[in-house]
Amino acid sequence: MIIANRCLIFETRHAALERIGSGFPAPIRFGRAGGSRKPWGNKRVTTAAEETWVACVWFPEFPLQVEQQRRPEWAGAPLALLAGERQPVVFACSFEARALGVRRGMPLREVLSLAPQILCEPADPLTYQSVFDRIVLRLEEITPLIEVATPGRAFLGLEGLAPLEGEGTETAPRLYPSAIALAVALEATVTAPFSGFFGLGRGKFTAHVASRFAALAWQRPARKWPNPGPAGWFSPGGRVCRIHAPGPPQAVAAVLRPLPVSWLPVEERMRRKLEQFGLRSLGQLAALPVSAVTAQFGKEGRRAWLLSQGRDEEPLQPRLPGVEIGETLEFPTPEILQEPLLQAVAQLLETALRRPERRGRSVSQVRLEAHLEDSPLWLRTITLRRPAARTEPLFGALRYSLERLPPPAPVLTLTLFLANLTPAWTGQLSLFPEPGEEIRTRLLEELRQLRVRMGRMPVARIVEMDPCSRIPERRYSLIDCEP
Amino acid sequence: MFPDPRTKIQSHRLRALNQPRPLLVYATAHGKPVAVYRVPAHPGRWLRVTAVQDQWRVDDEWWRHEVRRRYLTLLLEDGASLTVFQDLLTGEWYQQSY
Repeated sequence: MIIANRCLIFETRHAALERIGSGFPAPIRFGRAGGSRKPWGNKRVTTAAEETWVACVWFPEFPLQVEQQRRPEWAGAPLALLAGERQPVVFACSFEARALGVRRGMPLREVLSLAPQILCEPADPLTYQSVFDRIVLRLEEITPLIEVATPGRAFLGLEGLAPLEGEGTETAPRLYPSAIALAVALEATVTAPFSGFFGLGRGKFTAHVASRFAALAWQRPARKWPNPGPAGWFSPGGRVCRIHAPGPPQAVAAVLRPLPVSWLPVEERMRRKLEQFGLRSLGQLAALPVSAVTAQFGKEGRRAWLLSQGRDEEPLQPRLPGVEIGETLEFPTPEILQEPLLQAVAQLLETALRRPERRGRSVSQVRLEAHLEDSPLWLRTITLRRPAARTEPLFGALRYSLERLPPPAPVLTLTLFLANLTPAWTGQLSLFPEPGEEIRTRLLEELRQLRVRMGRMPVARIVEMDPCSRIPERRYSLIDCEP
Repeated sequence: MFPDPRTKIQSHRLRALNQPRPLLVYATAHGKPVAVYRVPAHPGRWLRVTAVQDQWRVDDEWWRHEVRRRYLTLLLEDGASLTVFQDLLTGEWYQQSY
């Protein structure tokens, strides 16, 4: 008995140290060694992450949704998006391609041997990220606590927004009168042509499962819907599902029990191994001792075991949206020459630095985004060693970057973003003004007054585009002189 | 509900200079201009073309929006020199300095 007790103490202390080392708060747990833990006083202490209500927004096959919006003629066709230059593998594939046996991660030669008639196109991850960022901006109107997992999936913090435990259970005032009202507001943020689903649950994994329930119920309305728990529901619009099982935490595990292991957020390699061991459902995984799963799969296996129990200890890590200033310029014809591009960048930079939102703040990061002719989106991010607020150091960094790695195709639209603005001025002013600075300041003031008086900028300056062009209208252009 | 901390992206546009201006030209069946109309110095009057001082072709950007033009430098009856071109794709005439 004494030896057994000593082993018990060693096991619990080791488990507690392991948790502290992982960076999460270490709940105090007492129980038998080997995984079947009997909680202290028959009550399991849950972590803050497990108690938090989270929404998961999920756009199934988001890259394909973006591509089909750009090319409607691809709808219904077997399509595979490829990533990787040397050995292209499937990044995403359509339902029709999956019916032919194509899977994610499959090499191109295998795809062509399976389905020679399939349409293969290069993936454009930057565009997918950019499109998803715009969708996330709309979601930020509901809550600012958003964690973007991948393009097409994000998690939203819902604490304080609505009485999610149930009607009449919370007395503090909330932004939405009921959980259904919150669900309706969430559904309104996703509009055509994109198709997204929301899941509400305690913890990120439960919310993710709920979003998949909503997608299943939407796609197969005539069949039996998945069970979201005794207090769970599907919204009237059909795109939101809430998984809620009041009572002991094991009630949520009962909802997750019949689900396949392919729904776990683990690597493909581990999923295949689980299936090789004959573990096809989360219930089968949950029935195993945690020590055996950890011994076989390591930390990832332990996390998968906890998720199969309905215990998600990973907290929401929302991103911090800072102030970002953007200026965009459209070229009359696609531009490939470096000099006009640099002039355009200089113009955008001067205009962005004069924006009132930038006053008194320095810039740590500059981002250039270009829509190219017949090519994917081009993105270049320059992070400065020291924040700057004047044109010269910022333009110098941009010029160096553009000269080293120019855009690979003619540019249609160029957008410049100033990001990571610091709160205080970090530059040093000169004691003596530069020659001509006073005249320049007076000129800019006159231009500002002209614009206010006339409602538009009547003064423009000539920009050299392609002076040696055989087409005369391509040689020089006019751009508004922004004060 | 929650204001977006990002600022609105302002957009600008480059406007091409020296855009071609449509012109009425009376030409022979072989495409040789005989008279031009609506020259700014003499509104509402046909001016006879005294001589064709120079002529050249521009064929460019066949891979994008094809440009096929026949430029001519005309000497008018009042002594003025005018550069015009005929768009060989549409047959229209334009005035544009080169």
